[in-house]
Amino acid sequence: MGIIRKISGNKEELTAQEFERAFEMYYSSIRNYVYFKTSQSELAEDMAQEAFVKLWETRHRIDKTSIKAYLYTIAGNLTINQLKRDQLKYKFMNLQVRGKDINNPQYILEMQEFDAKLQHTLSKIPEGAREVFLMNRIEDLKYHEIAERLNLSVKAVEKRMSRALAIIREELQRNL
Amino acid sequence: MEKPKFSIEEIEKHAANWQVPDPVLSKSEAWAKLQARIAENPSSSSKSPFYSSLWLRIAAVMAIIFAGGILLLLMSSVELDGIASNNQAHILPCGSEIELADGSHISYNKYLWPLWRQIDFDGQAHFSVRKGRPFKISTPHTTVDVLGTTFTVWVSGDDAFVHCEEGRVRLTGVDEVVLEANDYASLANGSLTSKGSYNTVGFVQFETQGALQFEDAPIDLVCAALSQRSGLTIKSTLPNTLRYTGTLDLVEISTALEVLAKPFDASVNWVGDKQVEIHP
Repeated sequence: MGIIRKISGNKEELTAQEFERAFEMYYSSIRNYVYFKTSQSELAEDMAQEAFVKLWETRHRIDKTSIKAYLYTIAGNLTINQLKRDQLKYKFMNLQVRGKDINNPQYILEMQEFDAKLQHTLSKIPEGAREVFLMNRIEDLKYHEIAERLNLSVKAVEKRMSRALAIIREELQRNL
Repeated sequence: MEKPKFSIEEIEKHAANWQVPDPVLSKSEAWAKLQARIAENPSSSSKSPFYSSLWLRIAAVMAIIFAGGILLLLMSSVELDGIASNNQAHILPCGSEIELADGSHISYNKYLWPLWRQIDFDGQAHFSVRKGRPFKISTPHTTVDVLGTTFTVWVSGDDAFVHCEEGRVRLTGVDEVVLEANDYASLANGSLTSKGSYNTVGFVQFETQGALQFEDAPIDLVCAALSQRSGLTIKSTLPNTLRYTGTLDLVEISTALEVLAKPFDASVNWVGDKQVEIHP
């Protein structure tokens, strides 16, 4: 009886308040996630909006314990094949230049070149590995948090991260 | 000045300083827009006045039946082909979306669509099906009944491969198989050859610039994709638990097959010009 109550409790309709709370908690992360996949800022906003519309439309049958993973799945499906990999062009804003040699123009130029090449290198990384790398570095998510959101095992996340880093290292060695 | 050397740690530190470009809409503006969209869409609100009125509901049903009677007289088939470099989704009359790969083909009757959601299909496509009347996809040997929402279908001659991402899908041929979310199944001449589960979505990308790209894809799916794109019949006796990650250039299909077989230490045997077998 207790189990039945617990399961049916999770399937209760998502209330407007819970929906708003989910938006508050996950909207930015979902938008970032789509940006990591597509490198298109406006598309990322549209797809994040769409994911929440779909969440609302399916609120009657959603398992409340899996809203986070559900949103990521919807967003991932919506953006599937939106862009070819060679069309990716990231424009991350760089919040700071490394502390040392901040007044050295030559150093700053080299850092800018490095930054541009590193961002360009992202397009060479398979989507699955790239999004894990960016979620870890930019969203500051732990491996187990990424695994939970993308419905993967922690081992799979580790594997993807290693692959991303290996590709970055190889590409930078070749180009720098 | 000496060029800086960048270690993995430095690369990671550098990337940690990146920030996603500022959104066009602030979070509160995005929330307002979302609320407006939900309010505009009657199907997303259970409190819509349209649905709260029994009289209007009956009138709507009668109008649909009347319109359906007229539309039954107007037989017309819509034919759609996947076009290279065009990944735009086709929106069906019910709002369901189909993303067709290059070389794929669907046809359906748009006038009968409100009553009869059936598609004749060949090729590869990603379907996102809206709730509503039964949704069927007919292929030469298998019928796919959609009981849920999102899935991918590949059809190549007598073979079919279906991956269900959300909801449930029933395949009916010689065998009947129901796929839950994340399940995939391969069928040959309508008979089930393998079934398994894959816990993520989008593990194969549509053809880009003459190449197919796979990530951790079951070997059956890889063979189905190559068969569909090359016109060859490609059979594999490798265990379907094997996964393939990589890009296969379709310009030279024999090289692509060798590239596929190499990591599994498998051999590629040509049987005539049109059939290929991959053995352990």
